[in-house]
Amino acid sequence: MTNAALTFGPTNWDQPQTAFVQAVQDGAGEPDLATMESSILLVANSSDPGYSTMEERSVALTVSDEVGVEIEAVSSGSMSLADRSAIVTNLTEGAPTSAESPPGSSSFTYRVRLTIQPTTGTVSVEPREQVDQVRLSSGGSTALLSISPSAPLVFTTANFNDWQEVVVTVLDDNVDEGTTISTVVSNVVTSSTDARYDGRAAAVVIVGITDDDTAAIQLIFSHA
Amino acid sequence: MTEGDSVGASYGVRLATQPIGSVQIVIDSDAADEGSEGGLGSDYGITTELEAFSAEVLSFHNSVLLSFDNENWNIEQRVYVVASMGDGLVEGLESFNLSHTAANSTDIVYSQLSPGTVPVVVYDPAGLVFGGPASFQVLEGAD
Repeated sequence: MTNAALTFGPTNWDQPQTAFVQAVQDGAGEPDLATMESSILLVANSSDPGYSTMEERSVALTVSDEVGVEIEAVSSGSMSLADRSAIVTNLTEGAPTSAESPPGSSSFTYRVRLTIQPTTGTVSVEPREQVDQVRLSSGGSTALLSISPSAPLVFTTANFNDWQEVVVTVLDDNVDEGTTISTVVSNVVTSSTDARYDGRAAAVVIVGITDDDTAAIQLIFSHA
Repeated sequence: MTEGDSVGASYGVRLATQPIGSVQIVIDSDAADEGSEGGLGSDYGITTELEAFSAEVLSFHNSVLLSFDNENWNIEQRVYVVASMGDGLVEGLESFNLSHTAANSTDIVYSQLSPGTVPVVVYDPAGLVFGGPASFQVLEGAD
């Protein structure tokens, strides 16, 4: 709704009426503007000659864009859920680490950025995985993110809209874990000097894992 | 291996994957006790401690237990198969089986493996030979 009418008459002219204003969620970041200016025009369309000739009045509004942490898959062979709550990929233990082709790969790359500029300082987003099935690294380094000490992705007022990549590599363990293993990588804001980002999280990455281990008792005959 | 030797043939046992709990492998021999037939006390036995093995206790060693855990799972443990004192009879080709069962393991994957069997052939008096070629892996539970 882009306009609404409030009607006053001889009996209710001095009773206040309330107009509600709601921001439209457009799902798009407006990266260069943390806030946008808008206004509401008040026009008297009246049968009373005194009011109908009044000048228009306006009420100023400030609309804040929705802050958010955005992620998307870089590797092909993965899919995003329609509701944008998760990226889903499938990897194989012990497979080559070619980042381009899950599920025949042991690694997968996604990237993270902020949707709007922090007001000040930095926003740290930490990829985390709890069940120790994968290793996480970023920035082309081999440093491990998920295992202590953790190393979050740090966004500033300058680079908030630049993608930062995270590589997920499946641990090649020696345990027969059955046919259905999976894990979840979350991407949570762990510290922020912009309070709007506190507690925000990007979509999760759901990683299905194909095990390459089969339990067996090995009997080794080496006699001549 | 020949009847009357103190040293038998042997093979190694280890796990293909790291277990979560302990894995207890029971190896059972179904070798017939020759003593019960001919009264000569000859037998085949299995053991993990060759030095402590003697002809007198052969008939009590039809079963051994191997224990693996998440640290020693890939370290080979040796199993010796021994024929006791020669009974002096020409018995020709004999055979028995060694079954390997991990049902008592606390690791649920290993406890559910189907038992596997290794045939053992005894040449009297020439020797004792395992089924399959030398340098050979039997992977129980594998496809």
